[in-house]
Amino acid sequence: MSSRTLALAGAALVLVAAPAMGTQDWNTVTASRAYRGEEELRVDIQFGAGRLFLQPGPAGSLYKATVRYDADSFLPVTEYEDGRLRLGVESKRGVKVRGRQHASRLDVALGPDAPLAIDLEFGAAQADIELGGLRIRRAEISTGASETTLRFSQPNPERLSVLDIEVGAAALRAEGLGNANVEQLTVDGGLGDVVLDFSGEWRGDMTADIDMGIGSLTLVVPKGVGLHVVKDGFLAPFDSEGLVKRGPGYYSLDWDSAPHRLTVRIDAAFGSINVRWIEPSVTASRP
Amino acid sequence: MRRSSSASDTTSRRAARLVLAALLASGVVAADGHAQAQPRAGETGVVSSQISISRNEAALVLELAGGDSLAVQLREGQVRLNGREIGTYSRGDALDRAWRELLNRVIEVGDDELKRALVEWEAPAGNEAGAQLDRVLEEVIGRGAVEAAALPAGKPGDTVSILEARIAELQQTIEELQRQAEPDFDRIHELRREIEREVAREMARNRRARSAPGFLHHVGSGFSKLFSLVVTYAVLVALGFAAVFFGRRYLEGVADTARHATLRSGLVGLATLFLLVPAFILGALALAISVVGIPALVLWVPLFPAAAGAALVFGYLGVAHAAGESLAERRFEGGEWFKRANSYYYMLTGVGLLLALFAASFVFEMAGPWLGFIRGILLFLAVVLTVAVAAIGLGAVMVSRAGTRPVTGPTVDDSIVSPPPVEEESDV
Repeated sequence: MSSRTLALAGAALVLVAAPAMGTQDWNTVTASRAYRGEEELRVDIQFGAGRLFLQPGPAGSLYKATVRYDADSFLPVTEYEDGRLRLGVESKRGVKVRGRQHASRLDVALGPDAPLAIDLEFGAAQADIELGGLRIRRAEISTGASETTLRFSQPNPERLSVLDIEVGAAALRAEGLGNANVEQLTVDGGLGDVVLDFSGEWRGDMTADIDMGIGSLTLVVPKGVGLHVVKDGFLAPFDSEGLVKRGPGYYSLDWDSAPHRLTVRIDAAFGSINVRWIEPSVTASRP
Repeated sequence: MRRSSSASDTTSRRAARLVLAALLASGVVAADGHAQAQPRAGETGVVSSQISISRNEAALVLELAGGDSLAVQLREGQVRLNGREIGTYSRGDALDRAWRELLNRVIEVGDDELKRALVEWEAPAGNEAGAQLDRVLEEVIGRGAVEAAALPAGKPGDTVSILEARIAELQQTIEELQRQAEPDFDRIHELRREIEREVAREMARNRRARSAPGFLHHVGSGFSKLFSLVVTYAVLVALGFAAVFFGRRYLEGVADTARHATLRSGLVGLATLFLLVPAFILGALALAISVVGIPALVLWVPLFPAAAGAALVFGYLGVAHAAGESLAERRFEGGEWFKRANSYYYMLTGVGLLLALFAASFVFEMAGPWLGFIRGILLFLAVVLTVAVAAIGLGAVMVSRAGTRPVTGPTVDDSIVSPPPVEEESDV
């Protein structure tokens, strides 16, 4: 986990740790821009604590962001330059921020026209990220103590070369990863429950490297996708339902004939690892 | 409020920069500077928008196709259009309410609706600044030309003079910002001087310290450390006597194990020393994860370190006992040995033996810096010995199960040697 993420998580823990007194000066800033043939949009979002919503915007738009924040403690960041978009809130220098009531809210809508490279970092945030239908080429998501839902409800028209997810003390649910069209998925989990739902429209093979600390990992895999799991861990029981052991790995019965294959390498410490099989067209229901 | 006004300053400065860029560029260069995204010919739409609503400010900044910009700002009683004050308002008056209502409405909508809402906006009747804003919005959004709208009452020749005035105003703002930054430099200089003074004082103290100590200083230092060592010795001996009194069997078990399985005890103790912290953490985690273990966690957190500390001390005393016993065996023979053969005596001599290197080191310290290297070597050996004793002692405690299952030496055939039974003295 990067030091920046740790710092965000630390700041976020401070934010939620103690109540604060006094009134806030709530500001709202909205920034939007039309799509004008940009070859790529690099989106850099840093968000300490609060609620974060990211979703696809209408065609013809490049982005639209609305930040609601406590102006006594924070400054908004809405900068666009040379195909690079920076969004978020920054705490003011010298201002000690305490209390959940300072938590901000950031609503982001990204247009479906420009290819995207997303770098998203947030601390103690409740995040709802819908990336379905967007043209995503690269994505890095780092969370601290958060509750995050990541969805790809529509296929990604681009090949997503790397989807890198770092999870601190968090609950992460990633749905529709089949739609994400990911080549390489990396999940670095600290403490918490992680659900990776690989349902969706598969158009290529995927490799997933998962490093889990303490907590449970659930892999939801649609039937018909060949699954190969290599597990290395300590006190992490593995529920290998529907898999057969061959050499050092576990394989699904249709591995050799499957049109698309998912290779998962898991390194886990404490916790449990479960595999759930679902029908191909079904997205796993929430537990 | 200062903080909120600071946030508003940021927004207003951004708006001013945007407007300045647009004016200087005269519609030739796009304000975002994106080389790939050139304005499309004949476009009149809104390229980007920024809306800011707070207690002290309600602002709208538009970047239009062709590179033009429009900035409308109601802030701190002033109505500004592209940075130029065109009127005033009061918080909560008709213009303020109407403008905020407009911005609150368009903050949620798309570009097309934004344009329509801005064009359709009607200023409150009788407000000159509002009427001008209304007119400007209709003209600019309708035509996509900002300059004419921003200067509705001016002559074409006024453009340069207004531009120069605006540049002068921005330069003044920059100078003000630089002036605000100057106290920081003063503070840095002040801190530097303070650090220099502190360094000078520290150097003087060091000079005095170097010149002052003489023979008496070293003797005094050595004596104070020897006194500390004597106190340590007394505490350890007292603990040892208590251990002998209350659990001699177990202490002797540990001592026997340390004597007869020294290497094994040392290795086990070393491994235990390394594993103590991980075992503590893992145990706590395991108890925390399991629901039934959570009550035990309350005991685990204080008792584990206490038990580890007790095992270390008990092991150290066991080794001291063994050392004292071994010394007695070498020094005394026959009846004299029997007289000296009691655990209290072993403890007195053993602890003294283990601390002897420290004592020697402190004695050499009294001699001053000339024998400093010998003092250093002795101190190093003393520390190494102490760590080794701690490891062996802890290992002996582990191997002998706290003295309940001691490892003793090879048994002697009673038929060959049958020594008379010896009752150890139980007092010193």
